[in-house]
Amino acid sequence: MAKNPEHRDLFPGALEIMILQSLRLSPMHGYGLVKHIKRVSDNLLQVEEGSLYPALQRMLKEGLLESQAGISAKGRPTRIYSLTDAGVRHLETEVVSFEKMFAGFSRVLAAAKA
Amino acid sequence: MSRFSRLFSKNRRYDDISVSIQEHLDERVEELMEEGMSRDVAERIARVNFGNVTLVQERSREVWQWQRLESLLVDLKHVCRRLSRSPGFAITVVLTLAIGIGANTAVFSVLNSVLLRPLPYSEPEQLVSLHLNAPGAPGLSDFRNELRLSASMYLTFAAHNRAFQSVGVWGPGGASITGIAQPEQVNTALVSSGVLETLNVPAFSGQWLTEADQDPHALGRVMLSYGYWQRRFGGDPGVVGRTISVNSQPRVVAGVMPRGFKVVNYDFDLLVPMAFDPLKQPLAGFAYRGIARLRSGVSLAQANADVAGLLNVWMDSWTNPGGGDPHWYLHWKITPALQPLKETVVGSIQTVLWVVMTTIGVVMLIACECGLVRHFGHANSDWLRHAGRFDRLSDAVVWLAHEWHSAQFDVGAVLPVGRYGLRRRREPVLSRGDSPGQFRGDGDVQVVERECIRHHERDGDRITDERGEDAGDSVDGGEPGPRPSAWFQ
Repeated sequence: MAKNPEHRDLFPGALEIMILQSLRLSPMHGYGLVKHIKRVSDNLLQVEEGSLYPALQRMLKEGLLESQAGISAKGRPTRIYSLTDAGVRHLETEVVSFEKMFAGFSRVLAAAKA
Repeated sequence: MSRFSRLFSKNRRYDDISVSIQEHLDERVEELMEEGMSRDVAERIARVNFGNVTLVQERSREVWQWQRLESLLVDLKHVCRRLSRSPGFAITVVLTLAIGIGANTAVFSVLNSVLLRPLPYSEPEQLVSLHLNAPGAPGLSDFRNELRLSASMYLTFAAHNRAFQSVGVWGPGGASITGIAQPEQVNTALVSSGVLETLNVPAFSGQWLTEADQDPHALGRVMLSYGYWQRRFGGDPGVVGRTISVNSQPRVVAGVMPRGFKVVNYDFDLLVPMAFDPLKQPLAGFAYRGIARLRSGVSLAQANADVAGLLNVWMDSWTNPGGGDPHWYLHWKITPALQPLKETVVGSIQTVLWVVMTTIGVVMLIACECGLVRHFGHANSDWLRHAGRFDRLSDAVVWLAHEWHSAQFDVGAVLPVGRYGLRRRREPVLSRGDSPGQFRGDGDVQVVERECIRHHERDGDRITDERGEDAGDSVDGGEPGPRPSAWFQ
């Protein structure tokens, strides 16, 4: 089976930063995160659902997130994830790092066009 | 946190994961149903989009696990379950392994005692055998390959050498013991002064033979082996100092050597002093085996040079009965060829034992491989096909290691192989391009299993979505390997 050229992997850490940024806006449950990222990116970014939960658990273990029992919009029991202070600090550090990377990337592309 | 609390906390985490994933799927199904799909179709699509639920749960739980131990237990459980389903095969496997392990243990025991620890003496690397070559020696004796030492040679070497801490000669013999119950013929080891000092094994009881025991004009004392002491004297601690009759001569027991002590590789009952008379020794009489302990820092070559120089001293100092030119032995072209005592003891059996050990190892390997193929059954064929897709040696190594690991056949062999693979696998993903056929840098052998399972599911249970497309292609481009955590569309 050939690889679909329209689908492109994101760089490592991209999923984590999107989760952190989304949860900074408001606490959400897993499916809510998937829908939020899809909606905010105008369907340009799509989280692979199977990768979401291991990533959430990793971040819970690292203390970047915390989870609480809650009720979904449909009234079913679920877990609501929210950002901890450590998560906020980590997000800010990561955002700065990503912005530098994007700036460098853009400059290289601009230079190539010129 | 107490162990109980940690366990409780972990179980709560596991429940949380299950609840979250279930809610995720339910919500997705409801959305699809709101778009007009039937529940069956909606559930199928939701699961296809989500991926393997069990696998995702497992990957999520792994974050909280002591991975190595828990995956080992899971694998063990899996193996037990499979074996219990086919008792005939289980018995075959257990018997094969039992026989194989038994054979391995037996051969290794021999290998260990003969090759690896043949000399139960302190600092055995210092021990050498005084081996002499005499390519020019005439006569019936096979002196060309090995010329043993004469008493005069020993006395010369002992008096003038600079390479040895101690040197001695010994030879096997026999003696009649009388005066205690039934007369008995026992094996003796005739030892000169220096033999016990060279081997340097303390007496179990009493003391070593001393220089005084080597007096040719007195009846020196004797020592007992541990076995003979037990057998003949019932382990009587009062045996030291007691007089026994050896070849009708009264000899005092000086001491008992410890259990397992041998003179090089010779098992004796009684140690008897040689008591050479220096005034009566001829040049000839090449009958004794020589051993020595090298001084610290002296090499074998230096010791050979030292002994070569002493051969002239020997010929200058002694004569044969009836006179004659003592330098006649120059025609024998006697040259020292000292060798580590271990080589003398082990000899040619070394190669044979290694071949036997290797052969048994190969047989065990084949048995394990057969067990693996049977163990994984029909699924194995798919796994083997997957093996052809590894584009890196390290990936294949990890896969192989996991095969072995899962089957629990040889943990000792698996761990180093697995570690090698993991070291290679932990390289950053970005440095390896973004081919989805490659594995991520999760750094866990279990990743390979997941990829294999996923690949199996994709190939074996191809599902089409509502657009009639191959779900595998629509999801991740259809290559075996991890799905991206997110992608641009």
